[in-house]
This record gives sequence, C-alpha cells and structure tokens, in this order.
Amino acid sequence: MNQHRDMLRFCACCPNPCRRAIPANHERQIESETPSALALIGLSLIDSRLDFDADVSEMLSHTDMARLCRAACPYDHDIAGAIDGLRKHYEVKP
Amino acid sequence: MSAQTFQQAIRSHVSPEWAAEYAAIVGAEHVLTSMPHLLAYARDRLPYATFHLREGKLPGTLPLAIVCPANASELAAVVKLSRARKTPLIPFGAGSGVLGGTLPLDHEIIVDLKRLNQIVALNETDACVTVQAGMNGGQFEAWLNERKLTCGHYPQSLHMSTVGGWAACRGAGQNSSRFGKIEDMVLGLTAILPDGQELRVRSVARRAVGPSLKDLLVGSEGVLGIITELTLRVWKLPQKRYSVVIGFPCLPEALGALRDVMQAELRPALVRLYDEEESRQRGESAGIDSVRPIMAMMEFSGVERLAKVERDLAMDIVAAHGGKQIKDEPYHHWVAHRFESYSPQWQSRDYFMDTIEVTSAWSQLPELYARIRSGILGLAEGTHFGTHWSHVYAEGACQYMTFRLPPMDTAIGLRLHHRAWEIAQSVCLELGGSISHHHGSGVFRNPWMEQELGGGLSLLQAIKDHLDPDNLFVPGKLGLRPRPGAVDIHNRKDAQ
Repeated sequence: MNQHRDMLRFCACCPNPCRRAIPANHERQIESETPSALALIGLSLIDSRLDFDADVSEMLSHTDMARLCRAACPYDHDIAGAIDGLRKHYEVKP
Repeated sequence: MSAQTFQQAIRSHVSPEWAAEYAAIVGAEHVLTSMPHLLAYARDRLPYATFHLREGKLPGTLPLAIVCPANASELAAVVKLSRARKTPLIPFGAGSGVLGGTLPLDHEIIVDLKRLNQIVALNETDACVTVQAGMNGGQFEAWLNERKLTCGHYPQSLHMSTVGGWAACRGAGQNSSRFGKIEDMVLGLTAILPDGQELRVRSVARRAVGPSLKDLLVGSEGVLGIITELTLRVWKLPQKRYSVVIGFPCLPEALGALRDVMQAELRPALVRLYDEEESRQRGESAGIDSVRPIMAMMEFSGVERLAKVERDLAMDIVAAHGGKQIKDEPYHHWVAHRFESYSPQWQSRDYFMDTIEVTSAWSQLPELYARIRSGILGLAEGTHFGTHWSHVYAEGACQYMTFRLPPMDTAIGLRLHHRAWEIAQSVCLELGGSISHHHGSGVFRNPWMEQELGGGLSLLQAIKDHLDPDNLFVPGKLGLRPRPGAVDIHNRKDAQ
C-alpha cells in the first residue's frame, strides 16, 4: 500500500480546507471521519503503528465525508479511494 | 517523561464504564470511545503535535472519549455530568488551532461542537447575524454572501475552522484593517459556564455597564466557558474592489508607508507587506527586483467612489515612500490560494515548519524583525525564515513569521524548534510587544504567559478558580494551572 503513503502523509498533516464540502445537515459531524483523520489512521496502519482490528475497520468504512470533500481538495487528493483500497487490502490480509 | 507511542497509549488506556452515561444525554451514536476515534482527536494543528505524530508518538494523551451534543441544553447536561464526575473537558470546533488549545493532556473528554452548526437569526435592519458556534466558517460566510452580506472575517483557516473557534481564540481575518479582529465583530454571545449554567450577553451596539462580560469569553479558549452561540456584525458586500501591488525600495520605507496609510485614517480592506525573502518568492515575475525588492499589496473596497478616493490617497502616501505600482499577478495568485495551508507540504516531508505571529509598535518593528530573523536563521544551516505584515493599525502591526528547520534528528529538531520560539517570544516581550496577535495561546505559549500578562495572570487564575473550582475546563492552557499528573509538553525529555 506504499503507493498511497505520501498522499496520506500529506493529508494527515493538512487541516482539512476541504471540510466546507460537508453539508451542515450531514448526519455525522465528527472529526475522526474527515479526510485528514482517516489519512492519519491509514498512515498509522501502513507504518505498523496501529493494528488492523474491528474498530479500525469500522472507522475506515466511513468514507462518505471524505468522498464529499474530494472535489474541494486543493491538492486533488482522493483520500476516500485510498482508504477504501487500504481497508480492502487489510481485510484480505491473513 | 517522554512522549508515548500510539501502542503504549492504547495499551494503557482505560475507558471507564460511566463514559456510557454521556450516551443518555446525547445518544449512543454521538459518544465515541473506540481507539481510532480517540487517536484522531488526540491532536490539533499545533506543529509540535504534528512533529510527534509523524514519529508515531502522542503529543499529549488520548482523550477519554468524544461527546457530540446537538444543542446547548445537551451541552449543559454534559458539563453538569462532567462536573459531578470531576472529569475535565475540552471544547472542539474544527481543530485548526496551532497552539495546542484542544490538545488533551490529561485524558480530557473532547466535546465536539460541530453539530451546533445552524444560523439562528439574521437581522438586516440591525446588521447582525446570530450563529451557532460549531458552524463551519466557510459555510457561514457563503450563507451571508448569498444574501449580499459579509461578516468581514476571512482567516486563512476560513474553511477549516468554526465560527465559535474564531471567537474562542480571538482570531483575525485577512481583512482586519477594514473590519477589525473577531473581538470587534462580536456583539453578543451565549456560553455554558463550568457549573453548567448559561451565560447570555445580549447583543447591543455598545453598553456601559461595567467591564465587558463578552470579552471574558472571547479569547478565553474555553477555559472560562464554552461558547454556544454568537451574534456578529454583518456588512453589505462591497460594490467595488480596487487592488494594487507595489514595489518598495526597502523595508523601512514600506513599513513607513503602511503606518502613514493607517494613521491617515484610510481603511484598506487588505494590506500585505512581505520581507525580501517572501517578496522574491511571490513577486519576481511582477517586477520585484534589486531596485524595489520589497512587495506589498493593498485592496480598497466598498462604495465605488469612496474606495477609489481611499486608493488614490493611499497611493500618494506610497509614492512619498518610494513605492511604485507593479504588475498585479501576485494579488490574483494570492486571491486564488488565500484559504489554503502551506504547512502540509513541508511538515509531511519532515521539516520542522511553524509560524509565529506577534504584535509590535511601529517604532519597534524594524528591530523586532532584524533580531528574530538573525536569531532563527542562526539556528541551523538550511533554515528558512520569511515574514509578512498583514494586520496593521495606527499604533502598530502584527508580524507574521514563517520558519522551517530542515529535516534532522527529531530530538535535535524539537530542541531547535523550541529555541526558535524562545527567540521570537523573548525578543518580542523585551521590545514591549505582545506574544500573540491572533493565533491564541493554547498550551504552547504557556512559558511566556506570565511575562506577557504580569499580575494579570494571577487575576485570570483567580477568575478561573472561582468559575471552575475543580479545574475542569481546558486545564493547563492559557498559562493557567494544570491538573496534577497532566503531560507537561515544555518539560519532557524530547522537548529540551
């Protein structure tokens, strides 16, 4: 999954200027599902600083906010896509 | 004590059973206790925190839980429960602060306010709007713009911050020379105090009934209460904008021109002056050269005739200081990127990049700039240092400094980073300035708060002790007393 590492590392350091694309009436308004937070968790997995468990899998399944933010990312990063790929990778990993 | 790795923090974390009691208030789906959620809230945008996280270490502690109330009543109930349980709280907007104001240091509960994100009322006759604290800044401004109005507050963090965060941290926007800082815009507010009671400061144009109670909350960073609602001034969108980009022969002349513009009672909507380093980066294609190496931008806006007169008067002052209009490309580039963050590209590549903003009198600015620049550039080979001045007043200006140390051993980098802060803050204090113009104090400015406030810090502590006798609201921030056993980021092995 190293092809996503640089992008996730960048996004993990980014304060989510894209978050304006999350509507005020969106059901969940939590920080941990913003692109930057997902990137931090994803990066921590890749770097073996977090174990892939049910909680991590559950959190990484919530990419709808990141998907909403995609068009508003000034750097054209697809964090939702990267996180989806990361989760699938770890789910099939023995 | 050194910073904990993620795995150490996770292994030692104990989530008490009574954390579930918060679910009875806000609903189970709005209480987060799982490990990845806790990790995501264990930071804000304090660069020191980022330097730790990229090494797989926590800057402080994990929070105990995250609670997301839907309204002020739920928030009050959360506060009362926390008081009964003696559990500390930290209000959280969008976490864009860069001083560690929302960093958990003692397993606090994070209270995420983003569900309080609605416009409450707009009164166009009285030119004010009431908005809940958790509303995204960019969405708030867009809502006003749809009605041909503006709040006039445009921080670089516009889209990554909340309206409540602006007020709690006493922020400033890029149009501050016209509209003022956020404290000049707040007419009234509602907050939940540490005893769970509501404080409502009604919105009126001005009053003379003792000290301003709203200013106990504006800039308090949550230590005295949690802002739930704000009433802010609104203005009509400008009829016309006139922008100019200027080349100056030297920095003293440029600073003199800005001072004279403000002391002439002109009201530029935008003023940005760059030092030679930043001018070269931004202005070479527009005409910045060895004759005029210093670049500034100004914008005048509002009613067309008035804006034009102000621009012309300002340009007379500019010309008297040797300034000359150059191509306007840098202005348009700045407009296109004004709400983006420049930090990720450096911080993600292991640079120790940070920004420091201070306030100084005009008379002290040249020495302030020269001494801090020299001190920080001398820290390590390959260090970058650039400065701009973009919040200007008749009396002085904010000096906004960006520095980055090259990638190096983390322990050395953290030490030099702290040294850079020590240089900037101590020189500022020595020259009579203020250690912060608009980023706030958080936890990272704790070492300099006593010198900044003098006896005022004891007064602030006394107010805090009265309102919050158990020290439960954002403990250990703003230079106030920490809780026993809390992480002290300024006195740990890896920060010295």
